Amino acid sequence: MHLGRYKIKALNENLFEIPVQEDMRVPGRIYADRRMMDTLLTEREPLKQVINVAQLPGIQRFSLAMPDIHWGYGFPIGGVAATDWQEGVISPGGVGYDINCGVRLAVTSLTANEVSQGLVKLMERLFSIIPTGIGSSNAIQRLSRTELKTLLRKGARWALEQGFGSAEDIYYIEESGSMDFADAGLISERAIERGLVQMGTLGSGNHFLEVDKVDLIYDLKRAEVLGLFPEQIVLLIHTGSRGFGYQICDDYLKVMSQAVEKFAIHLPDRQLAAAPIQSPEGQNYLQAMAAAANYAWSNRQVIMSLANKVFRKVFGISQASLQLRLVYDVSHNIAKREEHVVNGTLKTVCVHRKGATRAFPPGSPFIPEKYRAIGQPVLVPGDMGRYSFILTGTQMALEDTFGSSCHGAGRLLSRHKAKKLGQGRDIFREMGERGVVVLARGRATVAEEMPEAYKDVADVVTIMHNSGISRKVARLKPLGVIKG
Amino acid sequence: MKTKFKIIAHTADAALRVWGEDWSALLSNAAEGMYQIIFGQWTFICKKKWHYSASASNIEELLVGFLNELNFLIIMKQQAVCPSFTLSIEQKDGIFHLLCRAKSGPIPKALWQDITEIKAVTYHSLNIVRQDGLLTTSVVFDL
Repeated sequence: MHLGRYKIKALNENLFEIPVQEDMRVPGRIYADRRMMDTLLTEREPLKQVINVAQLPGIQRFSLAMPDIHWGYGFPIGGVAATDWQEGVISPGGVGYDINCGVRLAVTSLTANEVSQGLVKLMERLFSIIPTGIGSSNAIQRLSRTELKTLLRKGARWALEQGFGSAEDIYYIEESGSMDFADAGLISERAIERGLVQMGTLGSGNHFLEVDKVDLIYDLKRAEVLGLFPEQIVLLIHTGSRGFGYQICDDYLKVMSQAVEKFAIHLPDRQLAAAPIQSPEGQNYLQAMAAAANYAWSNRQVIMSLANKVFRKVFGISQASLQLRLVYDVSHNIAKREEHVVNGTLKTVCVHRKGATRAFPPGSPFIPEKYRAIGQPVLVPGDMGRYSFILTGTQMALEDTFGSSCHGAGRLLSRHKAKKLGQGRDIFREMGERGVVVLARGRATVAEEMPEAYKDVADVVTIMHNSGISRKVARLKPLGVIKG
Repeated sequence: MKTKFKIIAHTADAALRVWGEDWSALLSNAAEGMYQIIFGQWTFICKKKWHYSASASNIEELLVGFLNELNFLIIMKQQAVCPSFTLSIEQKDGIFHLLCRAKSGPIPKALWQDITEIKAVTYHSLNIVRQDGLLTTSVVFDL
C-alpha cells in the first residue's frame, strides 16, 4: 500500500512500517489493524506526521504511532519518538500543549451496589467542589507566587505537604510526582498568572473525573496486585497542567522557532519546531516543561484528595473504611530522559510521548516495588458512555516502543460534527438511560464528548494486547462522569 | 461584501480561513472569526479601555500573539473586546509592530456555559500569502 509516494508494508496483522524514504532518517511504525490502517490512509495527515517526525535530527530506531493515532500539532497524537540525548533535538510539538496531561486511578473499598443510592448526590458534590469548564479556577485558596514556585519545584510533594493525600501516594506516581530539574525562573509572567488560580481544577474539553466500577477482569493475578475486584468503585481522573502548561508550550514554540533558524534545522512542519537538547534553548524548554509537569502531578493529587473528602462525607465513612488508595498516575504528554537499547547498545535518549503512555515491564526499577512482578499500570480511558481499560507494560514494549503504549480512544468525529449530531438531543438524558450520571459546566462540551464522537477504545487496547505491547488487566464502566 | 473569514471543520479542533486587504484587516478578521468560534453570535457592552502592543520578526507570530492575547482576556479576565477597535501594524527594520486600541466588557454569566474554549492558537498551516489581491491564511485553534 502507498501514501502518495511513500510505500507502506504490513509487518504483521497489527503492525505496519513506512520504510526510510526521501528525508526520513528512520522508518515509521504504526500499530494498527488493517481496518484502522485503511482509515488512516484515507485521512492521510496522521501518517504524514509519522513521516515528518521520522525526519527529526537524532531520532533513534523508529517514528512510532500507537493505535489511537490521530492528527496533532507537529507530532501525531499517539506518537512516540526517542532522540539522541547528545546529538538529537527536543520538540515541544512532541509533548503537546497540555504538558503532562495524564490519568490517575484510585480504588476504594466500596462496591457499585453500595454507592447506587448515593451516586447522584456524590456526583453533584464532586461537581460543586472540583471546578470544571472554561477558565475554571479557585478549587483551593489562590496561591501566592512563592507558593507556586515551591509547587513548581516539588510537584506532587507540595500537595502532600499541604495535606492533599497520603505520604505513600508519591510512590504510585510516575517520576514520584516530580521532576527535580524544574526551573520556575524560566517561566513567563503570563504562565505564572495562569498557574496561581488553576490548581485543583479539571478544565474543559476531554478532561474528566469519573466514578467507575470494575466491570470485567481479564487477568486475576495482576488485578489482585493492583487491588482490583469485580464491581469495585474506582475513581479515574484525566487532566493536566491547565493554562499554565499551555502558556509554557506557546512561549517555547516561539523560542524553538528562532532556534530552528539559529541551528539551521530542516523541518517539514513549523509545529515540529525543535532545538538541540544540549543547547540553551533545549535545556530551558526541558526545565520549563518539568515545571509544568510538576504542576500537573500536583493538580491531579489535589483533585484526588478533594474527591476523597467528598466520598467520605457523602457516604458518612472514615478513610479507614473507604480505603481510597492511589493505584497509579501516568503521564501521556511528556518528554523524558531515559536509557534504552539502540542497535544493541544502551543509549541515553529523550523519549517524546505525545498521547502515549509509558509502559515499563515487570522488573523495571522505575516502577513501584509493589508492581515489579506485573509491570507498570497503563491507564487507557475511553469515552464517557462505554468503558476504560487498565493494562500493564511488557518487556516487548521496552524493546519495540521505547516502553510506550496507547493513551485513549482517539476522536472519530470533529467537535463541530459531534455538536451537529447532538443538536436536538438531550445527551444528559441519553447517558442517564445508559446508567451514567453526567454533569458538565458547558452544554457544548457534552455534545462534543458524546460516545459516538470517539473510536471504540476496546479496538485500540486489543491491538496493544495482541501485539504484546501491553496486557489487558481489567475493564472499567463509567457510572458518573464530570466533564469540563 | 467581501468574505472576512470562514469557519472550517477540523478533526479534533477548529480552524478558520481568513482574508484581509492588508495586515490590519487580516488580523481584525481573524479576531472576529475566533470570537465567532468561541461565542457564536453575541454582542457585549464594552466600557473599559483595552490596549495591546506587540512586536515580532514575522507577521504570523504577531497574528498568533494577538489572538492569544484576546483569548487570555476571555479565559483569565472574563472580558470580551468589542468589534469596533483600531488596529495598526507597521514594519520597521524587518520587525512588525502592532498597536490595538479597543474597549472591553464583561462576558455575561449566562453565556459562559455555551462558549467554546480555545486553549491555544497554533502555528499549524499558518502561512500568510497574497491571493487575488487579498492576504489570506488558515488559523487552527486547539480546543
